[in-house]
Amino acid sequence: MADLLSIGTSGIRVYQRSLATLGNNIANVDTQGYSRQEHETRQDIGTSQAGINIGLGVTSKQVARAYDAFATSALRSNTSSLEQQEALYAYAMKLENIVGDQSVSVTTALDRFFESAHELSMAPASAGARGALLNEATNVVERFQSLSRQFNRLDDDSFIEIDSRVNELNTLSRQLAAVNNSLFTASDVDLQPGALLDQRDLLLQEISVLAKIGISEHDNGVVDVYLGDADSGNAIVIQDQAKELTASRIENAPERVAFILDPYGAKRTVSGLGSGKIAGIEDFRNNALAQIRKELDEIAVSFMGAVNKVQQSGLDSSNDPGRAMFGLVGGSEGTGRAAMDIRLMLNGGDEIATGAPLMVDQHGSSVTFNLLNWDTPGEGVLRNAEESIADLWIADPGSSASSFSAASPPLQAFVIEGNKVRDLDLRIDQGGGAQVQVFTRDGRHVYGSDPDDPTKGFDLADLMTAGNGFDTGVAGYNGDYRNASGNASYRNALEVADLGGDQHQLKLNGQINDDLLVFVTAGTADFSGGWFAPEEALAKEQLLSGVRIDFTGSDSYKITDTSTNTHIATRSYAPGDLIEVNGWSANLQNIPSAGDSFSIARNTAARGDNRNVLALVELQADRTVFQGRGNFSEVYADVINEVGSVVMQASISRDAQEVLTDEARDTRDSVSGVSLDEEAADLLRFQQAYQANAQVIQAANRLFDAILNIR
Amino acid sequence: MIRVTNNMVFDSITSQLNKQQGRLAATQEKITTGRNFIKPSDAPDQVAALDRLESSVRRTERYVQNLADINNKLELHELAINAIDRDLIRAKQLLVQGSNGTLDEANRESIAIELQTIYNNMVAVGNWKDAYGSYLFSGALQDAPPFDLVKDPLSTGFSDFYGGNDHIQKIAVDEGFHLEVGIPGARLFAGFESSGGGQTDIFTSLKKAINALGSNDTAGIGAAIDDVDNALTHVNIRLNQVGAKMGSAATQQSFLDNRSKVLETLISQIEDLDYISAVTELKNQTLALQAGQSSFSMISSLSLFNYIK
Repeated sequence: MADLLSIGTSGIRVYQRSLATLGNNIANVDTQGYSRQEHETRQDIGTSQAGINIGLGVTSKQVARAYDAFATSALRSNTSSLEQQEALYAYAMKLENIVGDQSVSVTTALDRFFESAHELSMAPASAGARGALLNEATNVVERFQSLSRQFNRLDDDSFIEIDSRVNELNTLSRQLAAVNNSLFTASDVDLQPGALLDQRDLLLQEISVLAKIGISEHDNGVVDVYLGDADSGNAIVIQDQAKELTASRIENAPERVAFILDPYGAKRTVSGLGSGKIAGIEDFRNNALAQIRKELDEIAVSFMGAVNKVQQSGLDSSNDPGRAMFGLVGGSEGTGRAAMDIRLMLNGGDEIATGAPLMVDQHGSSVTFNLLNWDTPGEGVLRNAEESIADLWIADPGSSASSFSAASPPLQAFVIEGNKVRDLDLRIDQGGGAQVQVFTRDGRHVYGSDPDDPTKGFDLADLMTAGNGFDTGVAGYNGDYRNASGNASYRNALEVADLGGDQHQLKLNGQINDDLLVFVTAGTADFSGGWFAPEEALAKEQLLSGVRIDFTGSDSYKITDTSTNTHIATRSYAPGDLIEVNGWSANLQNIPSAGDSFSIARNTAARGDNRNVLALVELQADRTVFQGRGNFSEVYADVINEVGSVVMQASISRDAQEVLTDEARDTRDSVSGVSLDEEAADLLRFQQAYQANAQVIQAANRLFDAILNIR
Repeated sequence: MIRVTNNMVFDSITSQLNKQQGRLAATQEKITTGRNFIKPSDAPDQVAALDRLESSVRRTERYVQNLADINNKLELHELAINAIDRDLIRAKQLLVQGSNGTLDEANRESIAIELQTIYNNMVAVGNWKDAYGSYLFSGALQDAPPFDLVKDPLSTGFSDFYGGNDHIQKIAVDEGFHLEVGIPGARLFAGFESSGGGQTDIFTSLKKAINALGSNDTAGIGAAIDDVDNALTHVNIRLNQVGAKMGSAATQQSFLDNRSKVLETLISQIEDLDYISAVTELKNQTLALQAGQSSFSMISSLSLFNYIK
């Protein structure tokens, strides 16, 4: 039966609960992860009596939790993305601070090194200037190492953070597994205590700060959590079981981090964490840090290579070939990082190769003789109409052959240019009674038949003419060397062999800089052959041997080997021609005249010579040393800017992601957050309802009294 | 309609205020440093351009410094040649005096002594050093002075008398551009025609003059006068060459000065802050921050609870 008293009492009871729920909302207005709760009520349906049905009052239905699964999940994934950008940004800024700091900048150190080189070029003999350059070289080494050490620290710091974040993740996973365990008691999520679900969601939110997660929720609110997407298979929480994640460095790929899930159980390798703080740090390591370190190492290597090359092409103060200025330590000391392993290899300023290898004495000549490059073996210069062996055979000996026939009077077949760098292998097929003669320009007969032999097929006077390339005036017949049979030193370099049949071989093993004139004086001969590859060490020695160049007129010059004082070649000269001997080349300023003479010999005054320092100085602005990317300071500036771009990009992405995350948080808060104004209104509402219900009870009491008072 | 909850209000206001504070601080930093950007990430491409320009400026400055050093060396050359010139003129006066047949032996003797002093001076000048302590006239051979009083050019010949070599020092005054600044002693003191034919040098000529005076060899004295005349012409040519080098140095100097100016202008255009717009920006940002702060206090004081009494 509808009973006013119990109806009123039910109202009192229910509104007490509503007020309590509301009070709890207000109390938790600032509690992290709290979802607003609402006390839902329903009316108590009474039984029909006399055809009418009067309700029995109000009863609690449930305390509902304001929750939107989609909004919560969107907030989680946005949080992961934001945290990733934040972490990348924070570390990239640290990197920017390191590389952008003028006091540790490689550019400043390199600039000072080259400044010092300029000073040395003023006074190459000064011990002070040499010492200063070495000091600056040490500074450059230290600068590279110090940057590298700071990168190491960043590497360590970021790895340690990854490791501790992974531990944090593991702790959160275990806590979530425990919450899952508590959720087992109820069969449906609606029956679960709101506080427990709030705790669950808060843990999920905290995990998503660290890593991107996918979730699969059971009916009772228990959640399984996976790294990446829910179908990735990389579970970190399955019901009440948490799986451990570990992070470790990968050998040989120093910046990379390997993530292993459940290392002591069903081991799984996780290729990356997608987003979240850990992924952000990983991004920084794999991209920004690895890239910048690689570039710094490359700068160190190319600086080292360029300086060493100059240093090794010059002579030090003892007139010895320069040694490498920088080197990389290896073995147990080496780290595999060039910027870390670079070392100064010189022991003192005297070892700086300031001098060029060759020195020219102009002997007061009317024109200036400019040595151009002293380290590239050049091609010989032939007179007009002379056919060079280089044009005939370049390939392997025996690969091709050219045929020449005898003429009367004898005509030169071709010229083998003197080459101090390479050995010659000449094969002659003398089938058909051919006779072959080989002479130097000054008349030394190195190969062929005895001129007294009646069958020789030539007359010396016809053969040794200026038209055939002989130096008339100087040249006289000299048979001492013929067929490597004489006793002169020259023959040691010659080797003559009969290969059987009509095959003959003439070999030059001593790198002779005399031109050789080849004649076929009877029959027809086929020639084949080639040059052996230059020997580097030998080439260097040959380069340094002395020669004198004497102009016999404005259009021709003689080359004399000053060590043996023998005349090795005569060449024609036209203004602008390069003079190439022994692997170096030179040109002349203005037109020479007869009597102009130049001696070129190994430099014996390297200490006071600054030419090699000038080559060193040129490196500063040389845009070819770094794969054409610019000079050293430009390339280093590029490195700084790359870091700058990473920071800027990260900052832009972060700002954009921040807006998205704020929106997601607003959406979630809009559903689950507490609004005090709303609660205030409800407070009044529930208070009034409570008071009204109290009045109902009082009315019931009065009604009861009224009955009792009937007398 | 979206429900606005307390967290939303407070979170969004604090984050807005934070951002505004950050922007204000950045503008303020720009104004105090006078630079358009502070860190590479502020404008990576601009910073790249700036780095390149600054590196060019530093290299240009270095070449200017080299030119100053070159000028110092050339001035020393000028001084030395002037000293040689004065000594040669005095030597010629003495020889003319000595060629007078009426002069007695004692007078000739004293003239010979003064000529010997001039010879010694000449050796001293030949051994001059530059500001770095390098011999000015010895080419690249810096281990010992190029001239030696003990040696006699008449017995050794000039090529053995001269202890230097034929190297001419070059100094970089731009990328790939070198100025020749050295004069080997063999080119300064030697390389002119002798009255007797062939090439001769100042030391040989003076020694011959001293010997001719000693033996009262009038023909020898006459030849010595001719040789000293030739020497004077020769050193004056060298002096002109030094002058010409100074001219090249000055040309290069003004070229480098111009380049520096252009580079500095470019740097300033990129780097220097436009104060007017920066200050305007600062004012706007300050205004926005103040508005944000006052609206925060207004909004945060709004609560229905205030009205429930």
